[in-house]
Amino acid sequence: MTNNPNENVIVRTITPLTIRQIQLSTESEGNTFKIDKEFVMNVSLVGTVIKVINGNTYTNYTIDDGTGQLKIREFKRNKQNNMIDQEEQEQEQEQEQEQEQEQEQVNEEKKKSEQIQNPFENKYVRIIGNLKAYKKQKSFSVNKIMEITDSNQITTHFLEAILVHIQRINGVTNQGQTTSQESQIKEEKIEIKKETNKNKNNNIITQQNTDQILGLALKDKALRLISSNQTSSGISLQELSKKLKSTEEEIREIVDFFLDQGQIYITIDDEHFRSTD
Amino acid sequence: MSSATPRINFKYLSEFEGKTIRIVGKVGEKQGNNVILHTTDNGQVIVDRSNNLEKNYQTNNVEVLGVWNNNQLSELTFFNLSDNFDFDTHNQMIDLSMKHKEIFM
Repeated sequence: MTNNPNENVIVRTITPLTIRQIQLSTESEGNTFKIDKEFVMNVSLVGTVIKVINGNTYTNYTIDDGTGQLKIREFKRNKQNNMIDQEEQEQEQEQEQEQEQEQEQVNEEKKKSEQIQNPFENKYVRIIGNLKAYKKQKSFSVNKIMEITDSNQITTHFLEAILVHIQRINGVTNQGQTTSQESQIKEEKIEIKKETNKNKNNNIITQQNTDQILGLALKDKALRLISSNQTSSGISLQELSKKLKSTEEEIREIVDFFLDQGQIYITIDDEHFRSTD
Repeated sequence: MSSATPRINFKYLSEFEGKTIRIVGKVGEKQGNNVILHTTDNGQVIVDRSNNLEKNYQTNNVEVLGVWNNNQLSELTFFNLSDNFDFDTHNQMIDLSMKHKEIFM
């Protein structure tokens, strides 16, 4: 891992953090943040949901993990209109910001009178998401939110956060453990060469050449293919299988893994995928 | 400390007089509006539930969030924890969190 902000660094691991750490994080180049001098993008949090605000295209949660409170946003999926593009969502976010306070009051009254409750409200949840800068403010976009049913996950999460913190402040290069049960997760630094950057618009031939040069594993090749596809419907399972010369079963295992990690999402159906980056 | 509500156990209570804290324990006997909470480090805390009586603990292990004052915890809210909750590990986590307060408070 480099500390050179000029390199285009993609951090693949999920870092367990406390909200306090997020509050203390410093913005670095390219919309990323640094915590304990390391770049952080994909984050896991554990806390209680203390407030829910439902928007047309998103749900805002306020999370309290005992170290602080954080507002996070989960964008909704509309199957009829395919995946709502994140850029469209951010534009809608600007328009709806002014109405948010009014909406909050309406929701509070609604909640009291009709007892409508989000299933996560006042419960412990685990969240996997992306920490980004949006208009010079910290923005946390949720990839997955799950209710915690085994409360030992609360203890485990904070132990992991402490471990990663200690490792980083002591200068250990391994970024520590992720929350995934897959033993294959490793930290990588992928240097995107200038030629690949210039040809990011679906130049699959350049992508394949770059893959051959770098000699990346099948999983990384799959992620690069998914990331390079800029269409709204994303890349299909069949196309991935064909391009990577692997069976659909092998590709299905890979995409299920990335779905669990929050690195990709399903678009028009469960055989089309786009990158969350 | 801003909006932090630190997770502590019995032995750290004296450091948080007048503060809002979280404490995990096994639900003990009820005494009127109060409940005895047996903490992860074998302490006993009196929890005043007067402000939250309409909600009942659903499990034997709970995390209570409240204000610690005059040897009593005034409950603001609570969270039910699973029956398999590991008290020893949680206790060790609290000790470690107090050694690394910079990421917790």
